[in-house]
Amino acid sequence: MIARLTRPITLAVCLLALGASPVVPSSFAQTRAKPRPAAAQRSRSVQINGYAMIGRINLTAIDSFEAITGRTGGPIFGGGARVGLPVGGLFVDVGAWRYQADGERVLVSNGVVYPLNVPVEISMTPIELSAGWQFRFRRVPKFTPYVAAGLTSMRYRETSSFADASEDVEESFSGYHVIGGAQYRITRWMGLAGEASWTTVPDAIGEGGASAAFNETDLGGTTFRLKITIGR
Amino acid sequence: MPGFLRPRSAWTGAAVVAFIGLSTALGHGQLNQSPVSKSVVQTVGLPAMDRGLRDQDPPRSPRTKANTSHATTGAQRSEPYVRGSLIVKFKEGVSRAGINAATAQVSGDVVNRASWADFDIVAIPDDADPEAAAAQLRLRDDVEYAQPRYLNHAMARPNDTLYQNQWNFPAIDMERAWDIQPGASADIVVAVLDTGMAFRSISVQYRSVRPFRLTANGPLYPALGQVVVPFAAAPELGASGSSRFVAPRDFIWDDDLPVDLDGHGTHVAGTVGQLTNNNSGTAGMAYNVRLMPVKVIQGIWDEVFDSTNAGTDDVVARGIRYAADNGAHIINLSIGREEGGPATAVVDAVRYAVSRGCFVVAASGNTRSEGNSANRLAIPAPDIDGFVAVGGVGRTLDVAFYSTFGRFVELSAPGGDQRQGGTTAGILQQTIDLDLLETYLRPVSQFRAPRADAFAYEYFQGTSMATPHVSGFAALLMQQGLTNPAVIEAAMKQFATERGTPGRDDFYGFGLINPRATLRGLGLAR
Repeated sequence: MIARLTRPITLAVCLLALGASPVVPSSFAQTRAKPRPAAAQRSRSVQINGYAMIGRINLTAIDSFEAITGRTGGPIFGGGARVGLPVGGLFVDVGAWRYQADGERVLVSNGVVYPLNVPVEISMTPIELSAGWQFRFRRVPKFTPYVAAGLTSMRYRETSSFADASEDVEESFSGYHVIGGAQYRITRWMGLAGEASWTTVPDAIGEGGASAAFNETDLGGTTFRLKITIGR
Repeated sequence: MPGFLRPRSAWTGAAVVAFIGLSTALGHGQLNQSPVSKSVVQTVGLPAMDRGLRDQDPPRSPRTKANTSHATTGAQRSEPYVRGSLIVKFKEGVSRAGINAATAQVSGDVVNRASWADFDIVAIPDDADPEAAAAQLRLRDDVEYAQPRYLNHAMARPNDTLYQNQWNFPAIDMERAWDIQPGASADIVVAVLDTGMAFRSISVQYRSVRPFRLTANGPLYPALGQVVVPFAAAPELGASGSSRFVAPRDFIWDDDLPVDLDGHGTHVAGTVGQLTNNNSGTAGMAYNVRLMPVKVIQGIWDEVFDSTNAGTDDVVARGIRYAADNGAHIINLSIGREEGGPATAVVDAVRYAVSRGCFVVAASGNTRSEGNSANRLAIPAPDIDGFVAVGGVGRTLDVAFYSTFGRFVELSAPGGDQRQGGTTAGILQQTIDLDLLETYLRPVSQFRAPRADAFAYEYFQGTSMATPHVSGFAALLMQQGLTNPAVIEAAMKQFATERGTPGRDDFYGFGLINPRATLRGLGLAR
């Protein structure tokens, strides 16, 4: 498990380093030019805000999901918390969301899907642990773009009618994600953010079921999310 | 005075009678034109008799050519075909002159084309060798195929209520399969092409006009003259005249009354669709389907009564085409032959049926311990998607002692193996009580006309018994929404429980059918 997580962590750290580099000199230059503005002083304290989000996921395993649920994606909802650290624009974020879909079990023959009228319920609940960097612009202090990357722990559940307990699936898989977005602070305590993320959870599926028939192994996807944030 | 007593009408009547008599007399020399010795006496019959479970009967061998008896006037029948005629399909557009030239080559003549046939029957001299004559015709450019009229027979042999005696269903996880798809529905029609079916309560008069022997040195049984045979619908199949039975057809007697004078067809039909959850008797695979009785195989009694036809390839082919044209979704062929050349007419008919959306199932044969000669009808199965050949396994799920193996075996199903487990290791279903039917097995002094209105639960074994498991399974899949025969075959193979060597092998094919897993299909991850 530890070995499995090492690579995504390294990737996340590198991304953070890349994200941080353009901001730091700019900040220093501003500091030297004139007194630090109030907004910049805020970044030296820990900022905590929580958020709720809704959005949509476009799944990577499109053939498998389309076969079973008739869709290649769908709505997600979730929430989380972000802590801005007193180091430049650095923040850490913990969030979770959920995607759920109903469908039916199928037969796949020569790539053609034949539904069997046996109900299936699928849910994906990832917990995302991210570290990222927020970019602040003096001219538009209410607008904060950010990037982040981190680890995903994807809980996958698949249950169907007429199944024994051993035939249902309830497992967690590890993956990683990258996020990019921007927040707009509407009031001092409330903001609105839009972001896109790309998640990969390799080798989570593909050993059985329709995913094996379509040779799809990734339980990830691309999500587009709208967040309401509360807090400073 | 009523019209029919007037002198002029009397003369007319006499002329008609004379004409019929003359036509009948002349008809004796023609192919299959002898007077039919079967006629309905009463269209209603007494209720069927239930004579119980036969689990103490000794096991008997599965049916093969070697142990299938025929009623003959002299020596036992040894040729695998009917003499005096051939099955010939001429190429499209061949002129009458071309046909005449071809038939003249074998000193033959084309008999009128029969219903549900895309081929002709060419009469040839009785002393001509049909295989040589067919080979001669095959060399011609205007002939698509020519073959002897090979005889087919049922693929199992009887032995002897009761679900707990039906080990075969738990063996393929049917109880959980029925949770998913409980017995299909009347929307699905399964045609059972066999020795007929106990589907009707009726009394039929036959003529037995010649003594016969079952074996060359066996006792000579006397002609019985006119006999009335009572038939009843098997209580576990459905009520006589009910909608359970659809489009019955008898190609052995050329009528619409395919009653069973053998018991094989009724047993096979039971495994497909025996009434289930009715607090009585045994269960069937797809117990809500409608059954289409199509008689294409004669029993010994049919031979004793001089049936119009025998179970030749042309008769089987016509039966398949009839079933396909009359609404069958699945065609069960627990029949076949293990001698002679390819069954081209039958294979052509199978291709036609599959093209019409029928899923066709054939027995692999029962010759494993007798030279392992393949059922000629089953050999092309791997080349036709939607047509499968089925081998048999016993209670241990190991290949049965009789189950013919080869590259054509695609799936396995329970057929019973009484060498490993005795009588009760066969497949149990209700069929005609053989004690009252097979009176030709009694001493001559006790020989009498058969009854086909008494029923018992009998254990049979053979690939004939394995085949209807697959037909019933196909019905469940069709009810679940799979209508393409090729897809049904692919699904059955994909989910079969592997037996024998890994992958496909010649004994089990892709493995033992697994209806529950197939009906559940695939989820996303598992």
